[in-house]
Amino acid sequence: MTTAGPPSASSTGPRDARPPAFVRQLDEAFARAAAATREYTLTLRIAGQTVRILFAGDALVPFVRGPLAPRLSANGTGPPDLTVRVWDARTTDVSAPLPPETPSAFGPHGAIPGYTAEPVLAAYSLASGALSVFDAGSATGFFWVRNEKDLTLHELGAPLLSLFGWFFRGRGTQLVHSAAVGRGGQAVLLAGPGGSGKSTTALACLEGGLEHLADDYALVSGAPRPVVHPLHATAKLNADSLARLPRFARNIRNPDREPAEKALLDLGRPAAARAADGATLRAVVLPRVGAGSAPLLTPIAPGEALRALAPSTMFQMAGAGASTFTSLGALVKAVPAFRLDLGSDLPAVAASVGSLLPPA
Amino acid sequence: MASGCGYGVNAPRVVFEVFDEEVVAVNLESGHYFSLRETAADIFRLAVAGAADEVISEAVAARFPKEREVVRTSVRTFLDALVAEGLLVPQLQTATAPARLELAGDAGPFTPPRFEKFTDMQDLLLLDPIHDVDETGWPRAAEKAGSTPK
Repeated sequence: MTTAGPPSASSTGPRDARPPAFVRQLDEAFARAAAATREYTLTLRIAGQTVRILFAGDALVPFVRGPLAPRLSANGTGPPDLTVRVWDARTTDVSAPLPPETPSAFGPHGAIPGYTAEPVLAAYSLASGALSVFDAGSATGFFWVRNEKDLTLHELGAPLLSLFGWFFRGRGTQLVHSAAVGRGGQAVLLAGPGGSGKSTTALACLEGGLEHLADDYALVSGAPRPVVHPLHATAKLNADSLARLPRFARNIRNPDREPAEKALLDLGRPAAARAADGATLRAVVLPRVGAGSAPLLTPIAPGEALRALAPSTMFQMAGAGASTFTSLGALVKAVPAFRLDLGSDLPAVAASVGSLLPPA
Repeated sequence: MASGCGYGVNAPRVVFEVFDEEVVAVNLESGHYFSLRETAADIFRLAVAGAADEVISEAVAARFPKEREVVRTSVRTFLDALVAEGLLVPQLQTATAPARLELAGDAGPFTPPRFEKFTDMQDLLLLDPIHDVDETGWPRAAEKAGSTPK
């Protein structure tokens, strides 16, 4: 079992002792949870890294395995680069410990004061009550929730997102708020605010024969040229877009959703979504809902692409900051950027995006 | 701002990226982000390079010889606005600060420098006070719409 650093850090003062103590308590809580039920293991291969996920009990296994199914690895014996321990209180009767200094308020996106930078990052979702903690020193993550039924649509579609973001940032790979599609080992990022048409464009591209690499967050490694790595094989779609893309109705995971709630699509099964582990980035595209029928692709300056990518990536995740901005600045300088005014003709939208990629 | 003052970027609160035609700057504390183009981008670049306000004003005014005083005033006003937005901070001049600068290119008619400010991210940075915890000590999860009480 991977453990936190030794308590000798306490000799340097409480500020140094605090993170290892929290991590050690999390380790102990997971061990109690595993002893109370049964341990399950998934091994994944993501962006060239081996990730081992240990579950205490099986309640959360399907919620993690489904969206990450294309990333499952047959090699379950080698040493992992990242270990994540996952449990719930409902089936194990074990709660996550509080930090040694109980916070009186959470920062943006549930960031827990004192744990907003390495060596230990932590965030608590007020929406679901899910706790995510990452210890960079031991490359160990923890995810706990009281009840799997509390998980939000966002967490169901992108499980362990914060943990992946924190871990991969330390490996030079940035989690980017963007959809992504690809073909022939090359990729396009589709960036922009909610409602700009990222998901619709990405699924139209999948329907048009491209690979679907990401719906909301993609991993992008930097040097010497940006490479896009798929993570979760899911997508979220509103009712209007689903009506325009009826083929994906069979992929819906939440058929009993509230009328205003987006449909969560499982893309693990379509062969086209089983993309290679990495695709070289060719362009950044900013979709925008347009009034016409035909899409229009227009070159834009890199600064405009950075303004679309960076703020939402930096401010929608706990613990992101200057290094994320620098990474994204380098990204938009490395590849051309385009505005895509979407028309009503979705096959033409897919063709427009596909024109930026090598021929099939 | 008194003449002869220099500037620095308000690090680590502010990060920025310089492109050929634009500077993009982000205030990590407020969530506000900014786009500066043309003369505004030139002024920002010169300021973070350590130039004094007099040097910056003169460099910009030299491109608009028919409007020198208007340009000087406009540049100082703009520098004050960058300080007010928390992008720049006044600082003492160093021995390595440039004493004279030239800006290349045909500037055309003078347009007062300005920035675009985007505030759509600021709500994402609000703190969430903790009011109501359960027996675990952690705040309760928000109740989902339509869910049955647990």
